[in-house]
Amino acid sequence: MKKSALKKDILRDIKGSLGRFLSIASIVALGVAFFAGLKISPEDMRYTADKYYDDYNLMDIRVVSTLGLTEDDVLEIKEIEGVQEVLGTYTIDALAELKEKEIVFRIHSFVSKEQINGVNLIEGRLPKKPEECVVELGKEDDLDIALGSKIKLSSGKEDPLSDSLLNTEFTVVGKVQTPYYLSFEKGNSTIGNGQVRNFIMIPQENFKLEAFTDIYAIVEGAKDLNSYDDEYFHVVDKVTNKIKNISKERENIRSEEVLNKAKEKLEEGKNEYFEEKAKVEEELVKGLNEIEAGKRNIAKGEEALRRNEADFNWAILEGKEKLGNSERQLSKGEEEYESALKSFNKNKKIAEEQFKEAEKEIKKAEEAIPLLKYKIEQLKIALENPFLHIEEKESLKAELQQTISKLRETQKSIESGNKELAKNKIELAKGEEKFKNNKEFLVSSREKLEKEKLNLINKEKKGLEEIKRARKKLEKAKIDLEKGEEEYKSSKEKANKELAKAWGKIEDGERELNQIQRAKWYILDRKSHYSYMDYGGAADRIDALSTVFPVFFALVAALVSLTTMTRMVDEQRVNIGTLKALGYGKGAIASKYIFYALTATVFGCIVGIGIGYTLFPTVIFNAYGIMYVLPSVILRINVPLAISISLVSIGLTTITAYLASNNELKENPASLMRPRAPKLGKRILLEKIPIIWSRLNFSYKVTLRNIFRYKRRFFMTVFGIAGCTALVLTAFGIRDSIRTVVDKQYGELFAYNVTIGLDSDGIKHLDNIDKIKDYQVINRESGSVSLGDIEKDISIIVPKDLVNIDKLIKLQNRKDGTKIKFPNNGIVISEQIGKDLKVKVGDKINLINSEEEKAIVEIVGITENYTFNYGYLSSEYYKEIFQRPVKFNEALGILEDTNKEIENQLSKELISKEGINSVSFNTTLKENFEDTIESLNYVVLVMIVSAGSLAFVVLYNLTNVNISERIREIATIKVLGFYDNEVSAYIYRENIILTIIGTLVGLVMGIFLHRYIMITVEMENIMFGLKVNFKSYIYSMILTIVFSVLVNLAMHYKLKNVEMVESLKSVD
Amino acid sequence: MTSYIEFRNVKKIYRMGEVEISALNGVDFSIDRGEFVIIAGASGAGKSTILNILGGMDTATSGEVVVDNKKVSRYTNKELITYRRHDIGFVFQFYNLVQNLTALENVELASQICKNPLNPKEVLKSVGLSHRINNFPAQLSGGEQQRVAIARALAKNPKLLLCDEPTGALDYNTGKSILKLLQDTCRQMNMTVVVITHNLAITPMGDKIIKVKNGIIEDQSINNSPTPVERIEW
Repeated sequence: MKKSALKKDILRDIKGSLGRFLSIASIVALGVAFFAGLKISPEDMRYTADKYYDDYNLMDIRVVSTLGLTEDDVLEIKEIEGVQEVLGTYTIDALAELKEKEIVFRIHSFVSKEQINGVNLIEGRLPKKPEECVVELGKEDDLDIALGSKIKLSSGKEDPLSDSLLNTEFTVVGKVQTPYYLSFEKGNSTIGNGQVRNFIMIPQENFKLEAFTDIYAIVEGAKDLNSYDDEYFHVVDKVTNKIKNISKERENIRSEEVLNKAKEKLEEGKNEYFEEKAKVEEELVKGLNEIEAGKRNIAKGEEALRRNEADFNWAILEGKEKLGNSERQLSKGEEEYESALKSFNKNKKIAEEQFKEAEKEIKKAEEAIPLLKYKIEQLKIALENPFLHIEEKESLKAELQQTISKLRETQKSIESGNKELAKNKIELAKGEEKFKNNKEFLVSSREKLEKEKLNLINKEKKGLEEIKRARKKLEKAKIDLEKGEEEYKSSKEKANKELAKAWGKIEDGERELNQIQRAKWYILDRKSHYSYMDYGGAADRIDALSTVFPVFFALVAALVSLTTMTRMVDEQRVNIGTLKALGYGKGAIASKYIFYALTATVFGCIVGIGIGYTLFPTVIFNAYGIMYVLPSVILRINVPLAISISLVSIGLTTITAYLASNNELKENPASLMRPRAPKLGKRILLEKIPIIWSRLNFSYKVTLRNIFRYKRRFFMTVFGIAGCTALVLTAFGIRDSIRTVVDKQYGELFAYNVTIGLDSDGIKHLDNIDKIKDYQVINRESGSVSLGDIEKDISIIVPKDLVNIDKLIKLQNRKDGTKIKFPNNGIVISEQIGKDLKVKVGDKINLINSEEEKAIVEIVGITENYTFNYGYLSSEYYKEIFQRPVKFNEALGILEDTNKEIENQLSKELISKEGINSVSFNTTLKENFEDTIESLNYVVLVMIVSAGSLAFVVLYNLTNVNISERIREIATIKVLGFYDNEVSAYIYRENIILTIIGTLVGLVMGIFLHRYIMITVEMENIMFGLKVNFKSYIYSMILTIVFSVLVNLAMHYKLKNVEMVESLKSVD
Repeated sequence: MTSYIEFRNVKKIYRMGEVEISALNGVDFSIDRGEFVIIAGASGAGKSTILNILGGMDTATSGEVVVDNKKVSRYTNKELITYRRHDIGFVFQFYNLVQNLTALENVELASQICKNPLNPKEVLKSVGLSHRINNFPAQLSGGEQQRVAIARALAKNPKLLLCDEPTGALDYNTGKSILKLLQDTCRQMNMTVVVITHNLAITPMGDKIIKVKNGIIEDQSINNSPTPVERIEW
């Protein structure tokens, strides 16, 4: 047992000065806890997340393609060496109405619990039937979708969702979480409000899409590695590259397939169109013909009617005339008959007389005949006379001839007279008979006429009626025809319109066909996975914090232990001298102090690492838990880290202990036995200004001289306190920076408080709503800007009215606050974009709009902006660069009054209107944003607490050392009759002044520390303000002072207990 | 009529855990105004305890301490401070000067807190340090430092000057001169001075000599013809 007495001495020293021992241990513990905590927290975060990824099969590689992926693609990828598992699956977005809000759901397909990107079932069960689904159980389940309730989904686009899904209504049977979505941010969508709010998983058989949207792959052996380590990517990258190698071929195959299919479809569509067109036209022609026929029929009918009418009229007229004629004839006949009868009767008489005369003449003739016969005889005798002269003879002969013919004539005339007479007599009788007949005929004729007259009247009546009827019928036919014609016209128009539309579609299709890009595969590893990266970023930020803060603690801890050890060595001066005198070597004596420091440090390290490895990760993890959906933290014990931290701390304290003892050890034992020559009192600069100096009383003089005399203590205290102030200021500054984002962005820069998504029909409603004070119409589309390899997503904002928009959106330079006008030409970009792309005003960048069209634009301004990224340009300029007019789709408005109730009312009022698609309020945005950054508040709190403890330990330690160094002085002034508070004030004055100096220095340090941290923790799409509020300076000063007052209060009791007898002791 | 200072059956018992150590076992003595008193005794005899109790730095466990008709033994802590502040001047063995203050400032340290102080410069002059008033203690010799300490005690214009081994850390000659200063002060300012020493050789210079042994007064004698310091040898 060599030197066991020395060991006992050491142990008793520790026992005897437990306060000092603990103060070294605690500063070490604090520093170690802070450092170890900040170092292990990101590790724990990553490990916990990685385990979660592994447990639920988060994909290592995700393949997406511009043209979808096929079953063959899946098989090809499966063939690749190193690929353990492949899943071809679908992802689409859909809208659902929940709690009167339109929400974007991302639909994933569910195959099995163990599928790639599997699920952790929290409530209910997994889907079994096609119409069942599970939804995400978020941290704050504000959607509050009850199990058993139904979610009706719609596509939010022209094409109905039923084009892509078998069912569109699903029963919620369970709530799940998946490592695929750690954060609330689930990405953007082209529908609804553009923000995916939740995800829903439905059985894969629901999907009717012809190609997979995603292929997920698990890489062999990747699970064994932490995916936040580089080794993981070494393994995965090999497979990624192999997939890249086959991608070209697969892209070609797919491109051809899609192109052919599209062509086919287009052909089909065209054919269908033409068929349809022909059919429609045919039908139209038929219709037209029918109408023409109808027209003709009517004309014919009209003509017939007209003719019939004329005929009828004519017939009637004729009938009437005929009747009149007949009557007239009849009357004439009767008259004639009468007159004929009269003349007949007269003629009869004449005839009868003639008869008698004729009879007389006949008699006369008959009497002439014998004479003539005689004459003939005579003549004949005369002629026979042969003497007669020839001439005479001739004359006689003629005479004879004459007489013979006369005779013959007479004979004939008698005969004809007789005959005539008889004939006349018969004729007369006949005439009489005829009269008699005529009379009868006339009578019957009259009778017939009368009858015919009656007939005619009847016929006329009937005929008129018939005509009337016919006309009526005709009229009706005409009306019908007109109707038919109109119908024809409208159906023709409709048909034409439809046809035009159909043609338009075909043309669209043709255009699309021309625009069909070749399939492009995107092979994404986890580095392209939002949740993975976002969460990794959070861990990195903590890592970043861990690089700055612990340096403070290390320095302060080293200084504290140096001071403490120096003091201890000072106190033990005589002891050291004695040991030296007894013959102990330098090393042995130094080892006493080194051992003292070592044990304190080891003790501190154990406690510190214990706290650091448990408390810090838990607090930080839970803080981030507000933002991320994760299982509870898995605490890791990183032995190398613990050992290295311990070694560094041990090194620091033992070196300080060695340095402290080394000074004394140089002296010889005799001088060590003597009290150390007191340090010279020194005049300070201030004494050269007697006006001030002579006015100070002795205690200020002591204080001031003390401050400047003990430089080490001065710097240490100032540094410790400055560190504390800087930490507190940084902590408050972080809050300010976050506040700035919210207040500046949504107060100063964006003065509007409502955003209304609308189409051209919707604008007119806005004027009628009195809750909206002012509004402006803009176009908002998501696009991106790029320069070189860097591409950043932005919102493109195109205001309709370039002048009045500045009431709602203020563009300004952050540094000097000068206003930037909305540009007519060129683009104004937000600050972060400028930083990320490293561009300045006047540079040219690529602007890509939502149609993936690219244009080169000139930056004409860079505007202050904190959240998201924007590019502002005028509608003319937009049209100029993209060759397409701007479609205004949003209105920004200022409300008369804002509170939840008014907003809800307004929202309901607006959304019911046609043409208004969405309504969102900045207050909601603000709240969301505040929620997401609230987690940082915990980190802030951790920092304040740590800073506080740092300040406390440092001040306590220093005051402690200060008191023990000056215990005689204190005892003396007590003996001199100083009251307790005077004694305290005598000591505190120094502390107060040092605190004030330290605080001021700390404020300056804090500004830089804060700036450094804010730049380190900067997130995508968020630029933090770098200004710290005046209030925060005050707060951090007050807090530091409060800490120091607390320490001083604790010290007051210690001072009170300083025994006056100390003053009588000899100097040691 | 009671004396200026009176100790009546004063006992002091220190409790250290379960052990009781009796420092004073009933001390009785009295001092008159203007007397130069020497309390002598070996180390641990209890003389420092007497001084502490008399100076208001400690309280008696029992018994009565009266100073100038005031029962100091019944004072509260705060009254004790006031008592120290105004009535007591203390001179320590190791001077106990504030290193960061000059001689003058060290005197002011005391004079600035009491009711009726003397002029610090005058006092320093009277102790023969007028040429050193702006020096820091570290720049002064031991005797000079003790003179500053005495000046600091005197400047308060106290009723009672208590000196705890004032020569203990000084060499022979300096010690003598300091004792002379104290004796002269007593005579000139009619100040009651109590000096504690283990050096019996200097007892002849006191007006009254109190010998302490084992916590009790061994001997109390009045010296009607005190020897001047110059003639004392040790």
